[in-house]
Amino acid sequence: MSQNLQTLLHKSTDMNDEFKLTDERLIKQFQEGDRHAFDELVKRYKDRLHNFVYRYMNNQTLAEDVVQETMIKLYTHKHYYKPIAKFSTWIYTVAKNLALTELRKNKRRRTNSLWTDDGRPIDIEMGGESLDNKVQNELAVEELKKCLDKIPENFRIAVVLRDFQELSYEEISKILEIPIGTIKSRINRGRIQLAEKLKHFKE
Amino acid sequence: MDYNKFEDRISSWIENDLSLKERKEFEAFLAENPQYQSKVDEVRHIISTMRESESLKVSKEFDKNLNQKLQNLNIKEEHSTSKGVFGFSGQNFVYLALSLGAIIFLLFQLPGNAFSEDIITNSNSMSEENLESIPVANDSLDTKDKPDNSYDVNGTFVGNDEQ
Repeated sequence: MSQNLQTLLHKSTDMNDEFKLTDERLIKQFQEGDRHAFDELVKRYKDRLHNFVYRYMNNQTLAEDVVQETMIKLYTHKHYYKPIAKFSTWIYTVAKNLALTELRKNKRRRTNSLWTDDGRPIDIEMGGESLDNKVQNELAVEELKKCLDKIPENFRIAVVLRDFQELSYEEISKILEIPIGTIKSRINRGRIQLAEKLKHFKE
Repeated sequence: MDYNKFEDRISSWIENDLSLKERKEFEAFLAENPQYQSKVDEVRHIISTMRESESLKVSKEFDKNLNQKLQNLNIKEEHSTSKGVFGFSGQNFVYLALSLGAIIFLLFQLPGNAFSEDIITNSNSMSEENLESIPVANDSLDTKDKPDNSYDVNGTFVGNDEQ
């Protein structure tokens, strides 16, 4: 079975996206005992989840721990997934719940500098966009992160899922288990509050 | 349209998520109140900054750390399934056995009096009420002196007629 999966995965990288295995198919293979399917799911989701959790928690180390825990939950609780919802919805929900638990355990650090919370300097890649634009953008994101920290948690998670993860309203509604109307309202309120805080931050 | 309704619809207008009627109302309000244009621009700027930000990746040690944790998990699972009594680990089996023993002990101790009272009460009521219906065994084994009140299958009296 694993050899077939490997062959299929190999084909998918060579051929067009038609042959790419869906997440739902991969989780089914993993539930049937195929460890390679698990590895492929980790590969697909580790960065996306990390981006989401990091934006939400504003802590690189904790975010990576949460993503590791999410993958371990996927490994040990694979049979909890039922194909009535998308796999992405399920795994984002697991990550969100773990992040919430972790947040409540830890006080979130607030810094006033323009360095990242773990003391890393802002990483800027050369080439492509001009350096000025890159620097400006990174500084804007850093400022935004600090302001994101200050808005209510329920607004923050909705904004992160919509604007950093670019998930649909329907998917966000399923992950947070809140009606779509409420999601739209929280996202709008979150953005407006962010805009106000950013204005004060710059003044 | 008032300001609150206008503010509620800013994101929907930016994302083109309003009906035609709502869109026209929104744009009419904005045209009449150009001072609120800056609010719309700020929200639009926030959205584009977040969406254009670079996606963050996990560290290079992520896969190695994850595999290590999974390996430790597998070792733990092997240990817990290898020794067990009826599927329980040794320690858990002892706790379970002790708990069951305590429950059984309590069942015999606490409701013990009530059970015995019931039995006495029941036996008393039986002796008073049902004595007549209980056939009393004849103590004597000697049947010679007793009248024989037997009948055969045809109903003919075949017993001793001493009277």
